[in-house]
Amino acid sequence: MARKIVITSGKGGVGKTTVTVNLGVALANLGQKVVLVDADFGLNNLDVVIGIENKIDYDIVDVIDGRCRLKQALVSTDNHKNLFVLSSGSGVNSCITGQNVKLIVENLSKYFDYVLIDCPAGIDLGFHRAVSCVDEAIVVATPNITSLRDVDKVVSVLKSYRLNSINLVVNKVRGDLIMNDMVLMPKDIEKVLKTNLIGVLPEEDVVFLSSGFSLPKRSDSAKAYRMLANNVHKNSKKIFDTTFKYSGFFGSIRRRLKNIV
Amino acid sequence: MKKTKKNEIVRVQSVLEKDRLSIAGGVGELLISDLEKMLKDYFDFSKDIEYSITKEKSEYRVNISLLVNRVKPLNTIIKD
Repeated sequence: MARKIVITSGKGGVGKTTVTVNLGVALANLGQKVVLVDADFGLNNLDVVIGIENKIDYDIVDVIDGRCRLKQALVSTDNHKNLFVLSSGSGVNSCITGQNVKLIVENLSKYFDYVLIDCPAGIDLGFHRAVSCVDEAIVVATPNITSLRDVDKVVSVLKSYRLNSINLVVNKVRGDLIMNDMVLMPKDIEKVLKTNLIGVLPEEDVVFLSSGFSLPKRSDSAKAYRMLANNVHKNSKKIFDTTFKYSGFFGSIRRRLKNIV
Repeated sequence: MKKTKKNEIVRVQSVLEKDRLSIAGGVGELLISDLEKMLKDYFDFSKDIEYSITKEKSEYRVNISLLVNRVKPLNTIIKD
């Protein structure tokens, strides 16, 4: 049976969908069979981020309405034979209930090693629909006060679900600002939120500019996602260090140049 | 205030603590005001009343502390 993990945050725009996609890719690269489920009904974006928007014939709403079988709605990705996507469609349908979504996820878990659910922003019905299907949660935060405040509230709601684990990923981390002592370090965030940190992801233009999910293998982001996938899959404890290229003599020059630019 | 890591940590902790307590703003001031009126019947004091409200699981612990100069004598009236 698959490990079912929801990727959530409370606040929108922190990178839930990006984390879902790239973590899924990294897990698929470890040889795991992964399905990504878009639980953001009406404001779906998983298909666009992963670059398969033109390949979707059926989505989860078609499955619930009985217009197709679950396997027909799964879309494979070009570069990874182990990675599949179940899109949510862009319409809103009153047949989408927590029970329906849970049944679909349970069915998927028989055929995959990982079911990653991209949760909608907020903590209303869509959030509860997504969280009620899973055993684990990854909460995505960015190092600013608005995100941390929302994550704290999300974590306290998640605790009522008695999940097997609730882990933290800090996204969009700027090593230069950390070295200049201007923002919280991921370890500080872990302490303040009292939630286990399993991943740190740097802020890099390559994430924003990459088409689909093709991060350059040597990029810091790709390395960070590989570490995150290993932490999730093998329970290792390696966290990406965003400050390494900003420390030392050359690092301080790089920081100054970044401030000027 | 210049944004520094230290300021930011203090600010984040303060915001999260207030959110976690779910206690409306102004409750503390109201509590002190009411306590002062009541405690002045029993004690003479010039220092401020100190208090803290912390959450323990689903309950709240309220600690109140005060340094007094004198305990006022109380005379009881026995009713016939």
